[in-house]
Amino acid sequence: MELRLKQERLFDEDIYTVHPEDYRALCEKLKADGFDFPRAVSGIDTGYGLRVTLHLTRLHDRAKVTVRTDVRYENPVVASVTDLWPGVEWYEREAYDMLGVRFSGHPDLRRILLEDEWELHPLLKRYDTGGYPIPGWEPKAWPDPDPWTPPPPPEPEAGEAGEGGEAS
Amino acid sequence: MSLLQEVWQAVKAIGTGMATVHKRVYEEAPTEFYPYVKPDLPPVSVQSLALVENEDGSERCIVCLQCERACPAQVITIERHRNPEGKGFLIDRFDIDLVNCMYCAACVEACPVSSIVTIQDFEMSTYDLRTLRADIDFLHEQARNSRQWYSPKFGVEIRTEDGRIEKAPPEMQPGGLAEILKPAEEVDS
Amino acid sequence: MSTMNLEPVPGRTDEMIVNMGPQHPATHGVLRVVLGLEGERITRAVPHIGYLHRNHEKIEEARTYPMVIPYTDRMDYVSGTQNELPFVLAIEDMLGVEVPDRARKIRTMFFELFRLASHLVWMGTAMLDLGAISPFLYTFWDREIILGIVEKTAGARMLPNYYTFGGVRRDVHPDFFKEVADLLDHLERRMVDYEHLVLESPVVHARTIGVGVLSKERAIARGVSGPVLRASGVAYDVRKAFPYDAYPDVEFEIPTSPDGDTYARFWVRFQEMYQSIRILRQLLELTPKTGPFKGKAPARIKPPAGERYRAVENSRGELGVFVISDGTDKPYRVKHRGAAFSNLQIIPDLFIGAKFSDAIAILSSLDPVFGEIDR
Repeated sequence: MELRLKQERLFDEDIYTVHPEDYRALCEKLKADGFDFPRAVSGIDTGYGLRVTLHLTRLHDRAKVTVRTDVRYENPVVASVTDLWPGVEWYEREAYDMLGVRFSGHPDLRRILLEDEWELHPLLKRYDTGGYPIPGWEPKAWPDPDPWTPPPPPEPEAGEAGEGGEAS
Repeated sequence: MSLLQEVWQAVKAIGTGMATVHKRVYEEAPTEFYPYVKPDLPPVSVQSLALVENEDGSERCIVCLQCERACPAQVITIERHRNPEGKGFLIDRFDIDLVNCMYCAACVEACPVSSIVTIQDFEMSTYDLRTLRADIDFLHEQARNSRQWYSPKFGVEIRTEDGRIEKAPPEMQPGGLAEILKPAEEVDS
Repeated sequence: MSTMNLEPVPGRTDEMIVNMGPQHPATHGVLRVVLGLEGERITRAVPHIGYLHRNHEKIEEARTYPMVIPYTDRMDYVSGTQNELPFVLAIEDMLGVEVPDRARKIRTMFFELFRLASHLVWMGTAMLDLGAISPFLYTFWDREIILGIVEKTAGARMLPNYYTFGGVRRDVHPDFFKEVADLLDHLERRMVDYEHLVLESPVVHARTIGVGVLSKERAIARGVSGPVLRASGVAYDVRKAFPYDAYPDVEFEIPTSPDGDTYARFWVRFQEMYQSIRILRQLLELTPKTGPFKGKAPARIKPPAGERYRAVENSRGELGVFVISDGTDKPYRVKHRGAAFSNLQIIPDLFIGAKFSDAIAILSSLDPVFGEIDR
């Protein structure tokens, strides 16, 4: 089966942007390719949806690879890769804790840093640093729903206030 | 391992430990008897912040808000208004919340006129945290009480006996000597 | 963090549930492990973290790039400037800033000084866990000298905020090279004592050899790094694998041990200290006494939109940072990969089957620092 992915090269690492349904299949392929050392799993709020970025390396030839996949806010489910690399267990729990990404197949998907009873996912962009919802925050429209394409990289916000010193 | 060997091992380990202790007893410790002996801190040491005035008592600060923008902990609050006579700004309010300050000295780094400086006074323990919400008088007082201070622009400056502010001699200056000992720029303009 | 306790297994009356921490002095901070004990043997172990959580990552999204550096300091508070480096390297990559050769070497010297300081703290606290009190006093004595050297240059002892984009904030103190040379002489004498007190002590042998064995395959799969990984026989060191700063210029070895037990982890940290001394000796020769200490970085740091993952080998393992920039002066997302965070995941693997008193020895050999784990 052809995996729905886009490959690019940035600095010294390969970056795969993959459809969430094919994320697990790509990870299995990479595991078979010998990528044995999990470095980190990061959850990111892109404004369009949630993104999961997985950094891997191969110890013997030090190849680096980054896998990323994007899901929508309404249904943030990504397949867990804990059975392939047990070292990502806590990172996936952290991504769930901070952003609410649900990893299907994770053995123990609980909050890790915050209390179990905590209600919100603090790293979402809809909350400010104090944890209060930012008024008027709206998710951006997914660029092209069908066929699936990854959302563009984050854009600078228009109009930066309070620029430039008046040191004269 | 026989009992005899075990006993010998234990005796040897205790002996080594006692020998090490014996060696250390006569070495000079790097610690100081603090309340009785004041530590000799290096001049760049970041212990507290102060706001320096010029020799004639006028304000060195030009209220450019650079320190407020550079502060990672966002504890500096400055309010200002335009000087009605002449150019520049005048200070309405200059507060530093020294409780939440993390003493990274980013404000000192950012200050273009070396008005906000680091000083070596670390004895700030208090029963009431409200006393550490420093306003401009508090910060001026800290500068008046200290004999030397540091800022990256001008290096170490000292207050002489007759109240003048001078650049410290080279042996007191930290690294980057060549840069610091450049001819002094005009501060008071 | 969780208030959850282990549920007793129905029908098992011989299992006792014990809560270790978060205020237990042997947990090196605020780790809480819920243990199921059968006699003295551990049958279940569930670690809970997060008692020191401050959400650095959210705060850093609201700060400009230079403001993030002091925050990274406060993660792994016993290894000071080491935390700043991955973030600084990532932003330098994105900006394309050139770092002068001398600045690279100064950075590496501070990096290795803090590795020595951190391993000294580890040695003291690990021996404290095993019941020896004087090594703690001696190692803090030596660490005091290192922190004094750092303070003279950087202005602060533990959280120096010293690295910056393109180099370091200020030149080293004129006495710096002489003081480091004296320190290395002093430490070489002291290391002999430490070998006697720690590595050759029969008490340490009895408490650590064969305890908490971590296999090579399990260590790699669990993402463990640093001395814990190398004690299991994997020669993975970011300094060699993905060299940064002045490490390509110096010679050093990666000490590994095939045993994977607690003693091997102790031994590897000792050998690392010798390697640090060796690196510092070479850098004392190589570093020019005067010269530039900072490259040309833009006044307003605004990396182009993009992302970068950079890692360094800090005292505990691979400390990484993943930065996403959207082209403004504030990072869009900063993700920290804590070395101790990854290493601590191994707790259930090592604890289950061990004795309760061995759990303390195993934990001290992992050398967790909770500022970094809980962030």
